[in-house]
Amino acid sequence: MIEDKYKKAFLEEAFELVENTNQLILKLEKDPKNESIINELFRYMHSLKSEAGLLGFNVIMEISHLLEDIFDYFRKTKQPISKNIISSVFKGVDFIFDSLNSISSTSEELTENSDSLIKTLSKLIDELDSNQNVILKNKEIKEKEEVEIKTENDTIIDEITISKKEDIEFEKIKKLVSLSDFDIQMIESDYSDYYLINVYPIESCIMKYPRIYLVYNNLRQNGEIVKSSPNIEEDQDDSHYVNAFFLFKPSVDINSQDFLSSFQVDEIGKVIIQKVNIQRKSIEFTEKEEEENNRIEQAVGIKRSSSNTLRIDIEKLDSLGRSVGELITNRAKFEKILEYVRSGESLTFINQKLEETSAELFRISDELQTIVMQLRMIPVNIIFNKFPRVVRDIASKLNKEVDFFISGGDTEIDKKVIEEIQDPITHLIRNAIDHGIEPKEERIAKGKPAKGRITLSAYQEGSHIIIEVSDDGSGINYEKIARKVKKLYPDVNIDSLTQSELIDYVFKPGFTTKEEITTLSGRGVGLDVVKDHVSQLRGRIDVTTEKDIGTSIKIILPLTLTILEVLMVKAADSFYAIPIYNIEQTDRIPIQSIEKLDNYDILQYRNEVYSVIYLSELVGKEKKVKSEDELVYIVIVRYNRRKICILIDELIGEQDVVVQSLDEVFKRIKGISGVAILGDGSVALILDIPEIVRDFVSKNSMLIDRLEQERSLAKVHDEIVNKYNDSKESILINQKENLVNKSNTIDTKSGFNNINEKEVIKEKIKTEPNKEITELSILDLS
Amino acid sequence: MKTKILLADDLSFMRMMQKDMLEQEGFEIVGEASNGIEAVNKYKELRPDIIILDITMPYMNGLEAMKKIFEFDPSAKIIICSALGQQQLIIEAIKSGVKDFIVKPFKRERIISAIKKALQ
Repeated sequence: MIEDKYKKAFLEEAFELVENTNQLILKLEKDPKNESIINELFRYMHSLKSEAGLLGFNVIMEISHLLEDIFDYFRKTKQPISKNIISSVFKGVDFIFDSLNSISSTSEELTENSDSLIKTLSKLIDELDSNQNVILKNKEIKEKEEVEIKTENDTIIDEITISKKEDIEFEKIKKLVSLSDFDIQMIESDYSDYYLINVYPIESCIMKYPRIYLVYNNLRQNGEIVKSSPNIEEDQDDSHYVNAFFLFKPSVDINSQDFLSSFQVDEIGKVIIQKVNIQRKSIEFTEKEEEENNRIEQAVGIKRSSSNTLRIDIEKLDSLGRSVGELITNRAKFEKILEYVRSGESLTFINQKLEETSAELFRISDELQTIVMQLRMIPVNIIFNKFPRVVRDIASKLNKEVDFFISGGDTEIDKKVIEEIQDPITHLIRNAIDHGIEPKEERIAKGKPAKGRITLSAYQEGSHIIIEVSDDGSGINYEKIARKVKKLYPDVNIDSLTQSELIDYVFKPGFTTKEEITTLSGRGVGLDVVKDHVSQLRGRIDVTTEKDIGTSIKIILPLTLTILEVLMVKAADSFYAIPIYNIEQTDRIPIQSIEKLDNYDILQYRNEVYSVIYLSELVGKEKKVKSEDELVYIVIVRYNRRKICILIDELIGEQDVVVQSLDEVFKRIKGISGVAILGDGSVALILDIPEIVRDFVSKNSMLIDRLEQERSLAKVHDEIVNKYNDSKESILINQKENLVNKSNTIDTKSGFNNINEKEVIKEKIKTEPNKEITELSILDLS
Repeated sequence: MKTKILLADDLSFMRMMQKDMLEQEGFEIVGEASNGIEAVNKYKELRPDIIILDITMPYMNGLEAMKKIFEFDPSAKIIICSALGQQQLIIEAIKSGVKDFIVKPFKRERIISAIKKALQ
């Protein structure tokens, strides 16, 4: 039974609402598009609904809810409201008025005839918007509302059960929360603990999504939510939130009050926490076979689960249309020339016409190529704009103050690359805030502005797009990295490593483990994953850092994935393409400057010693025998700061080629990343330099380390021979398996020039002046 | 000392219900506001421990009022009171720092448990 004073207060207000509603509807009839009137009416019905619901007048609540829906429809669609609808609305308002009178006298609301009215109004709404979901959604909620009201007398159980269950395998989670490859790699290479948190709101909870969102918000204060299922930032459909999974990386103790109070949200009933069992990737560099198999296909096709549709700027399509138009005109000109030929025009005339027309064809096809390339390009802003929020969240979590700047957001990048590059950028930014930017007090002590500064920029440099994350933090601490390298790789001679070689170690898998995160202020966690990801996009990473000035990490990417700049070379009478971005240098040298060291070919060139691979041998053919004083072409390739000298038969020049991916059958072949069809129809294999270098290094890594340690070739002479003999067998097996020959030389790396020159080199090589690749392309190479 | 609460709702009836419920639980209602502007001004004047803020209010809605209050007092304890179908607004409020929300028509237990949790 309702207390009298509530009834009185309710009636007073409700009568006023009904009266105001009547007046406003009359006004609306004269001015059916007046938005402010509709808004006001919507609000009246909304209020009436709430009040009636509070006192359990369910019929009034339902009718006012339906009227609210009707006004909501016109509010949203901005359509004029028709007379018919207005009379239906009046019927509803009249019923409410009568019902209020009944409550006034008998304390009971009217139920008689209410069903038919509700039906009429519901039907009206259906008609108004048969395919719209706005109103349907409200109805859905309404059903739940009824359920809620029926259980009004239930006591609400507020106890939250937080149970910690047995560990769960990572494999299961991958399916539960749909992790991207990047996430998986990142988690597997990270030595932190991860937890799966399953949150259930109580059944009677009306707005489950916001409740779970509150938990989500709280959890973010205590760690990082790697993934949620449903995707909480995007999926707002309440019916999907019977429960929600969070993959969570805590930054606090999970038994702490801080963490547990994250769940102290009203109407949350049950929470299950399970530690995730993750098979960590081994630190060993070699156990990556499967990944390497994937690498080739990724390098060429980037087969990822990203979306395959693309929104294209209409201007780009217009210019495509224009070029195609020109092409058609051009074709007509060729037909004309054919006529000239048939009608016996002079050869000079035909020649002139032919030259003109084909020059035009060249220009048009160039244009078409550029346009098609641009079609794939979208401004990097699409992802950059998400980062201010990311920075804000990370910074506040780590309790650091950071100003964040973005530049070059309109730089365009291949769509595939954009999709793939977001996670690596996020990681670099997180690292910059976490490890780069110092705490406020420390910054002030150093005389820096209290607020840290992080810049994310994108710009084009030649045929590359550079994405740069720079901070004005403490810089990378070489000494700490050196100590760490010493610990992890006791065989490495630290003193012989340059600073940039030291930084390379940061990008090695498992470089930083959990215990060290706290002691090592350098970067490290998961950077190998970032690097892998970037190299899958045919990009590379460049780090510059200065103590107390800051660190800048550049992701250097090719402009587009389909067109590749290559150096075309010839070996054993076939064409091969070497991607320009892998090439350090090309030159022509006398054959006798290639030294023999036992069975190995090495080259001393500008104070560095390179091991030499004959391309013809690499592809399983005989190398051409050269006379003593002949000049030969070399291409020095580089991957990950390791360099190898490839000896080729002929140098054709620089070209842009369209990359075709390899057929499935050939994908297992190592050392080839794709195929390019040349202008004359012949085929060139594109060399997979990273694979070749890596394969070479891994086969000879023991030797390399040893060499570096001893710093003298002579001292390890016997060892080289022995170890090499061992590895030769495995190379032979490899040859049969892979159809691609491996070189039988030893590797050197750039640090090699420390080796006592006298012991290695018998005579100095006369080198020609450094020729840039661009120059080479115009040389006469016949 | 009693917990001081400010109620903001455009419906006096709603405020009356809330007031009774809360006073019975031993809370002190220090003031009432019937629109967003009033809510902000009264918050500044009365400095309540908690403000229960309705979303749909004339002149200035609850979300705008909430932002103004947070500007004035970043640690303000605000409970948003909303009706069904305003999910989007609630999410917006949560993102801006609201500690909890209650859904109309609400029950005594709900509002009290929300207040207790906000006070923790």
